[in-house]
Amino acid sequence: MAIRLLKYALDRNHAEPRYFNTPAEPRDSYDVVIIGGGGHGLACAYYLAQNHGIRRVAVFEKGYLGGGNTGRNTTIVRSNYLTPEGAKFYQRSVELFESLGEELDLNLFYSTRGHYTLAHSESTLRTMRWRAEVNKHFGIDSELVGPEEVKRACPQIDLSCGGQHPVCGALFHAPGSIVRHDAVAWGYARRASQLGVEIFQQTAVTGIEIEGGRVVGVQTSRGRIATGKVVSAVAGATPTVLKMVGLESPVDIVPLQACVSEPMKPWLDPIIVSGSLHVYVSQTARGELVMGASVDPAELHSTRSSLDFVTSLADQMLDLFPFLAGVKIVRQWAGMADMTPDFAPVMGKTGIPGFYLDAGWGTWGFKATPVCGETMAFTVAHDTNHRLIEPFGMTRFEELRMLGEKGAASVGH
Amino acid sequence: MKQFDCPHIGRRPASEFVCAGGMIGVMQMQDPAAARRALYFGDATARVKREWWLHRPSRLWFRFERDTATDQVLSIELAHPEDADAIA
Amino acid sequence: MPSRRLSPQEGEWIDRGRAFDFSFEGETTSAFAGDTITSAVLAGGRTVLGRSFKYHRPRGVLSAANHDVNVLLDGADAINVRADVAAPEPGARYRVVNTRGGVDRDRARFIGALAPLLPVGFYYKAFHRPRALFPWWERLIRQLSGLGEITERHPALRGTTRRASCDVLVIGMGAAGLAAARELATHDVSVIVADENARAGGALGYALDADHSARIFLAEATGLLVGAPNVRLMPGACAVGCYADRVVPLVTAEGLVVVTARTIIVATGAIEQPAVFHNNDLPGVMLASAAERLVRRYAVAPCERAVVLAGNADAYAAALNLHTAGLGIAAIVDLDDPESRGDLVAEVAARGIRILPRSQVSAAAGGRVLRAVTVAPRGTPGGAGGEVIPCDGLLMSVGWAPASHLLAQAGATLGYDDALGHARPAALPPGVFAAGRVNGRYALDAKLADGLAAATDALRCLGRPVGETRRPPPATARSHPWPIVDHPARKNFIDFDEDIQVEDLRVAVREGFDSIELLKRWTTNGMGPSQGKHSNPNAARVLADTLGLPPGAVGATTVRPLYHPVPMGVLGGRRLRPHAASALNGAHDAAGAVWTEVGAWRRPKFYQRREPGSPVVTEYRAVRERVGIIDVSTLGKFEIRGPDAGRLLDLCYTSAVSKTRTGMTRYLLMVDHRGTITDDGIGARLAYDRYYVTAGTSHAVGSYRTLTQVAALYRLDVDVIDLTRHLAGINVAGPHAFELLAPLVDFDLAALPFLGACEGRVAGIEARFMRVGFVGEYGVEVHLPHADAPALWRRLLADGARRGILAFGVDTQRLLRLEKGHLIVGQDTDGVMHPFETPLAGLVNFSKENFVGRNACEYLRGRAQRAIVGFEAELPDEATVIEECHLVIDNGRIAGRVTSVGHSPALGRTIGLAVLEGYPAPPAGISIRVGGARLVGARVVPTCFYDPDNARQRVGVPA
Repeated sequence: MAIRLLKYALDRNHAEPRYFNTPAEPRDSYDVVIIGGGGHGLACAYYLAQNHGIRRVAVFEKGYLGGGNTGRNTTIVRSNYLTPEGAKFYQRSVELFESLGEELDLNLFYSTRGHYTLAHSESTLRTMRWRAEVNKHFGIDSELVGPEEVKRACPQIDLSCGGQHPVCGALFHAPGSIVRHDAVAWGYARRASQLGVEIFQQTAVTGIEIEGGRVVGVQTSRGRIATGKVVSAVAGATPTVLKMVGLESPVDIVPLQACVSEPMKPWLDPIIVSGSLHVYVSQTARGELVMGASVDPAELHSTRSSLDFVTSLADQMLDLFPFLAGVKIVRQWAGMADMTPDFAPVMGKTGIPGFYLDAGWGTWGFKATPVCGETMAFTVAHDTNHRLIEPFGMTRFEELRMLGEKGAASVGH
Repeated sequence: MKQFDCPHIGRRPASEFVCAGGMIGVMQMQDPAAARRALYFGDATARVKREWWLHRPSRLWFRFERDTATDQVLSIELAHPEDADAIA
Repeated sequence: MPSRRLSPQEGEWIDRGRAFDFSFEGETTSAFAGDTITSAVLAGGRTVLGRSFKYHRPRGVLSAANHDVNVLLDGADAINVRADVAAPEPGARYRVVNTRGGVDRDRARFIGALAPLLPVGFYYKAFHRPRALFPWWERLIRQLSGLGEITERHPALRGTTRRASCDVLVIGMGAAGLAAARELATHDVSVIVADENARAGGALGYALDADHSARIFLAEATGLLVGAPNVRLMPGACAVGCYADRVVPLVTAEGLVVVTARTIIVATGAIEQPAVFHNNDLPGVMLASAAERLVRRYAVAPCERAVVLAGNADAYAAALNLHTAGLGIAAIVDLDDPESRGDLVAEVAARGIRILPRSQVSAAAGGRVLRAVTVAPRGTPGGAGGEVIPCDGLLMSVGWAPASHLLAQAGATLGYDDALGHARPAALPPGVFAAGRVNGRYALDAKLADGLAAATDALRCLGRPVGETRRPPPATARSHPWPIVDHPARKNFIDFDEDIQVEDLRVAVREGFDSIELLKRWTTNGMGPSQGKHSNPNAARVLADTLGLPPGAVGATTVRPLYHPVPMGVLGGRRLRPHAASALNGAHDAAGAVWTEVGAWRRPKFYQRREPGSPVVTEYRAVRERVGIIDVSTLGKFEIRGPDAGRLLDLCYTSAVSKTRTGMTRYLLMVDHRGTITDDGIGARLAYDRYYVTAGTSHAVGSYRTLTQVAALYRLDVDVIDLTRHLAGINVAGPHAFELLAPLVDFDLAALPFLGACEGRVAGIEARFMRVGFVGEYGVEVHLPHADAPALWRRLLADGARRGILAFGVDTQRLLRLEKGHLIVGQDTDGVMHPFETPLAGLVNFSKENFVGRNACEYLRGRAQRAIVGFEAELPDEATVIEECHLVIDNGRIAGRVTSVGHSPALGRTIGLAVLEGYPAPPAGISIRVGGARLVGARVVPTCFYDPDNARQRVGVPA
């Protein structure tokens, strides 16, 4: 590492090779076309090339690389989910994240801080215990802790929350981490590019061609591409892409907002999430507080910010940390969350051979970036659902069967 | 804040409302298989949707036509016309 | 240090009659009322006012307008104070943020020497191998990052949020805004005019005004507006965002004022832009308008001998303005030909000020503060030398960027205007108008005409009769397209917040971050506290240049609220937390209740008692053996009446409610459209067309919504009245409950059958009575007006004293009902369970016309994946405890979980309810994993552990 830095100092022209190749024109055909150049799509491309040797892959991104929810989320990575399906799935993601910086040779600022989901009532505490028990069963490091332990880890917190709904305990998940979200996209994109994947930004897929009941190509803003395999990893645009193949889904699109404070010296180490107050916060390496809450109350296909969000977030955050009253919020933004009825994704093969879906990521998608890439790549390469994603097929809703994640979702981060 | 111009209660801020979507419609669908499917599946693209919104302070239900791409509300009517008499 | 305070300036903002002191970096500093911290510190003679975030380079004043954060301070209880616009508190002590050892001797300045090793993005390329060392690096990076320091002792001050509405909101009290407001004042419209500055005027108050026309207009316009009854003037109110439907929050000293405007005129002006050259961040290098503000508003001369860098005609006006005030102008370095700059050039020359045409400033020099600049013919490569001109001020006047943030947030599109040199609004959404510099109009008469035009457009939009709008044409050549000099020694800063240099951007583009958004995110250009106000336009120029594209072809990053950062205490406003309280809470407190939160309510878990042993067991025995009372006021309570009352309830609940006989109750179950159990309750038929229904405490709101929504959908002739907060509830239960109640009621209590309901009086109070058996003994639930509840509670306790009555809480109630196997919705059921996975399947009645969730239930019947079972266990020792949500384990797989559990005094063993998954039929026994990962065996038994025949319901009642 020191050598690399010295190189910069000594070499005037220290630019490294381009991180993302951008061929002038797409080819006429690819083995796999991935719609969506966010973390999920890029990770899928990388693992296709890296794990399965499939390199004739094109990623089409209608905006700029990582410009969707990958660049807007609040960067929390954890695996303390309620259901066995979820726990195993996200645990694999955490495992991948822990070595991802080394694998991609890019510092992702993956910082393990510890994650506290605060309980403000006995019933919530009960649900926290449920999560802890399921986590422990799968060897995931989670435990129920009392308010004193919360105070020890975060001395500045006001356990009384202003006098109502005091903190009565928390689910503590030691592996909870934060990471630089953009860097995850860049890291996957760069390695995928190095392996031969072609990434096309500012290029929209406008149609998917089906012939004889199977995928044969896509229409893009840069022409028609022949392919037998298409992966949709587009989050908020999922309904639009599904319409191209005539599929419906249980996904609903709702804005999810977040905001950031001005930078300050480090004081908050752990990630704090409150189910009752519907707010959560972490402090980045730059010193900013990144804060979020629950999704907006009504469907909307827009990333507009609202005043209600930032005023009610500030109000609730001050219950936990009253001394932050003088700290300023600098910027707010939003993404479009593709919500599902049971807070679990829809992944894998669909009723259309050659069309693979990676969607239903709601407020829980960024942390799944590596495992999604890995499992979708496997699924596409073998045309068989990876075992970790078998529970996430869309058919569960045809059978009126919901996964049980909602029992514990609280704010869902 | 955003405001809605409603019949009978006039212009009220959006914060006084809660959106219940359109799910209630499945109760009156004739085909059971289609109604079951509608519990989970639908056309979730950005378009004009019919939604039920509750004005919490007055407990009146309204039917909105709202464009979920632009958030423009095209029409608002009282869900149960006789509710108007109740508060007249 | 010699003072820089000038003689009184006309219209100055300071009050020389009110002087006080404060401390800056340990030095006592004098100030006048009206000073900002920056102006006072500069007046005292200090030049180095801060340190840059990354390289800790010395910094001075740059904009004096809160467009930069060069001067960022911590006070004793204030963090990240923006000195350019903050008034000093008398006696306050301010320190510059993020230094080690103070601003003058910042020990961290050595990092600047490491700058070549730390190019933009260096941290992505380093510190991740070996992985084990990263936490150490991150700790170091965190220490070095961050600006101010926050502690728990900072005050929790919150502002007051107010709301306002108006026909026209004018944002900006400069020339254009005042001109618009002046026109609007004469019409029948309500107007709010806001400006972030303490006083009106904008540039009118400090720019060159040789013929006083600006000052005359300012006085006349403000005079007229102050007297206009339909105009509310709000100086010191900063519009920080424009949200949907033209909602604009204004930040004032007291808090937020949220304005809903039918139309908005954005007259927010333009942000002067820096030039980019080697060492362009030295203290002493500043924007020309900064110098003008300092001189005219605060009577502070920021330098003695200045060089003006001219990229537009404004430079000459500024030079004249400052020269008149007494500053020495050593030279004007004009990037182009002075001939293009207009009439003022001659006047400048006439004053003997030297003008260097077609020249550039390649570098500034001086160590800690500016001492000289190197000037060379335009196009000379940086580092190739030139004429050195001594100076202590370099005033940049090379261009502007419109302060169009609110327009962008409102949905306006902006287009690059080549002639003008910067972006300008191209398309505006309905009801939103622009005027003045933000709209590309610069000359005073053009601004005034533009303001009038915007007012006319707004009036027309409001339906007022007006003539045609006459817009003056936009200005030209206000922003130089390339005020940038590349330099081999770098240190030519594009972003002052983040210490980003020109080469950083070029390298990033070559590395593939070649779109405006990727460039921003990789380099963090524009991501600091000033959010790109000074860095976005120049970064776009460098990007375009590197890609060989024309300026304006690379777009701009997304504009988001907030225009200036806003404290959380201002955004949050006053803290308001409505909560619900039972009328009996006082009595509970007096009796030593230990509380638990249930939704918006609190309920007693149990009462602290003098008797030895568990209070819950003590209360339990009272109920099973004598009589107990519990406050159930938190339950949802609805009266449903009208011809369609029964039909409504049949449609909303799974049970056949309308088959209930008058005078009887029925247990009700509610599911949602997908068949998931959402609530349960008791429905009492009090009359043919009148029902009284209870709902779970946390589910009442949802159930009420279902009732009203279904009533509306089917257009039913029914009233649904929410009595939840009007009625209290007291449940009297136990073998002596009948004895206790019978004398108090005005009807024959013995005639009230099990599961019956009636209305009557108890202790003279009108009430409803339901004889239901939730806890497994004879019991009557009394619902009465909440104001009367304390009296009844006291009466029951008094009359019951000789029978050994005790009040009992929810923990006790939980245990009692557990022995009966009664489910608690939300505890024994979860977010996905349907009735066919519980013992309540029989409550789903398919012979009805329809009900919420009917379709789903038809499908789910016979497709249960789970089952609720009862279990009992003998625990091996006292340390072993089964708790709720302990898992059921079957051969290493999770087979379910415990939902309710407790030690049953009646049976003398541990009993509970569990949800099991994956069993075709209930097993005979289960294993429960308790603390310490040990497994405890339990027998599966029917869910009703106590009195399955309900014989206890008849105990204490005359036959």
